[in-house]
Amino acid sequence: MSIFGRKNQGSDSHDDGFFRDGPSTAIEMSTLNREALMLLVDVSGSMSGTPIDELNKGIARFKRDMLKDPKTASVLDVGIITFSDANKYIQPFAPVTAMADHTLRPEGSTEMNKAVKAALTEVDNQYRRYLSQGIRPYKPWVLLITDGYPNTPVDEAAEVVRQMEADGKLKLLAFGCGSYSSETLHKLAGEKVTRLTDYDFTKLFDWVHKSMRAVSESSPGDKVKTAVQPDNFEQDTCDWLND
Amino acid sequence: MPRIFKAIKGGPSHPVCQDSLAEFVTDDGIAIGVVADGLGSAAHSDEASKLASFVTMVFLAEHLKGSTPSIEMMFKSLKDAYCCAREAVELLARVRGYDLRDCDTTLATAVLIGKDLYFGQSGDSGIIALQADGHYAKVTEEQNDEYGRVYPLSFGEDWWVFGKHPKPVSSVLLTSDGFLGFVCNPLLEDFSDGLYIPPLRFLLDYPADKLNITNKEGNIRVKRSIEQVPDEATNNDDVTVVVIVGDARATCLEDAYYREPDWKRLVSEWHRKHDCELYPSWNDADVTGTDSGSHPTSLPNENKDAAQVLEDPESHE
Repeated sequence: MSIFGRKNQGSDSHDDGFFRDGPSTAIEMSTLNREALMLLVDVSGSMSGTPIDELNKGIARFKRDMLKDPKTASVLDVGIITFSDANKYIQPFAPVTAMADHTLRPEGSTEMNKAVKAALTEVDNQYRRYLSQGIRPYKPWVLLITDGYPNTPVDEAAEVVRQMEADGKLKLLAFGCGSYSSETLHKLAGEKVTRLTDYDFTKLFDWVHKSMRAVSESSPGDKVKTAVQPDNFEQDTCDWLND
Repeated sequence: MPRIFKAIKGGPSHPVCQDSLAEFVTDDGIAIGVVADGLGSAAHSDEASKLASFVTMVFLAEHLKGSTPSIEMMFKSLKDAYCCAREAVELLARVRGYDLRDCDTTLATAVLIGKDLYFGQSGDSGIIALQADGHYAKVTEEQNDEYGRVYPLSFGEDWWVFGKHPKPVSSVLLTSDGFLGFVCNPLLEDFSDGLYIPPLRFLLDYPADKLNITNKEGNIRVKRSIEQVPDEATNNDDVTVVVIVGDARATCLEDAYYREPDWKRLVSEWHRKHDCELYPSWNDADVTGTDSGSHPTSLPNENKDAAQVLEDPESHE
């Protein structure tokens, strides 16, 4: 559209239009959106054998798949906290393309309350870092993966989760495998508890990849539809609340 | 005489547009522009933003007409206008039985008298000026906390900011946060006054011989401009633009100032500069440069024995 035209002393015309090079440059500008994904993983002794082997495979494949998906990878930061007797922040938040290789080794019991609180603190810190640098953050995700019963109650952590989710600063999803405590996971994640019917964690991480892709194709603040669930997901609708 | 052109585009993230604007030019050439953006989570913020913007404009139009206000009088008038706007929103809530928290809105106001720009700010809408010297300048700062939560009009006069831009002004842009973020992209922090010049120039820089366009043509020009901006570039938000074109024409600067930025290079430079702040653990690692920014060659926690043990979240950062 040209209501008027004027050429200044240079080669650029004032009335070249709103975009010199087309709107695609504006899209490129949006690469400063970031998504923080925290994996909170149970490495207690009960995860020995098949569970931990499959978990290691799943995480490794997730990283490989992300390297082949530059658009999703361009917005995704990943952190990993493992928990057993102690919690270890084995992967501080970093772009998924810069994730180190990790081999999880099982040991000890299941100190979940402190681990969840630690994960929430790291997620909150990362979210504030994004804002302080002028980045538009997506709602952070925490994926809790566990097969066990916690040593101590998780009520403190559950309250923090509730507050952060109410403030729109978090989405916590819990995945239980083996003989996990359904009550514990429901306290933490409400209805967002999924029972994994087998130890094929590659399906879980494939779903995570596709869900993160959906996030990357949205704008921060949008409601995002997660990916179609794989066949080893089962909604945990345990009604322990009514016992 | 100053001219005012304006447009609003509703964004896909809101079923009802929550932005509002108001504008007026007095007989003696005082131009008043107001933009208000209802907070997204507030149920009646669209009504609140309409009321706040209208009351502010009417108050200023009534109090400034026929006067040559001093700086002190301008600041007082702006503050009184904001008080009226807040009281009007409170009255709306009382009369309609709304929770006042459902009536939160921002409020950005510009008054251009000759080349003097006075402004009022509450929230995260914003004002950008084309100075008479040809430079574009961001006049206001967004008001929000470390989580991005906006300080609305209802927070009161302790948070409102009033001021006079220090340099002579040719034109003024008022806009809500979606479009403000588009033209104030952090990638531009070290480039062209930190602003995206080409669209700003299109909106604000009117050569003298082209100001004979009608208001309708001017409004269409603004509307078609903002419709070209992809929704994702403005966070799917409503977009509101008010342009006040004053009597002073701006100096034309060198061509390089008006060029389209090299976005690829800016993204790379931005990451090089900021990644160590985004990822503090990298400050302990070896860092090498790559095309996409600086990534460490090794992370401190590759070896699980070196991984950070989290004793107690309260004592961690």
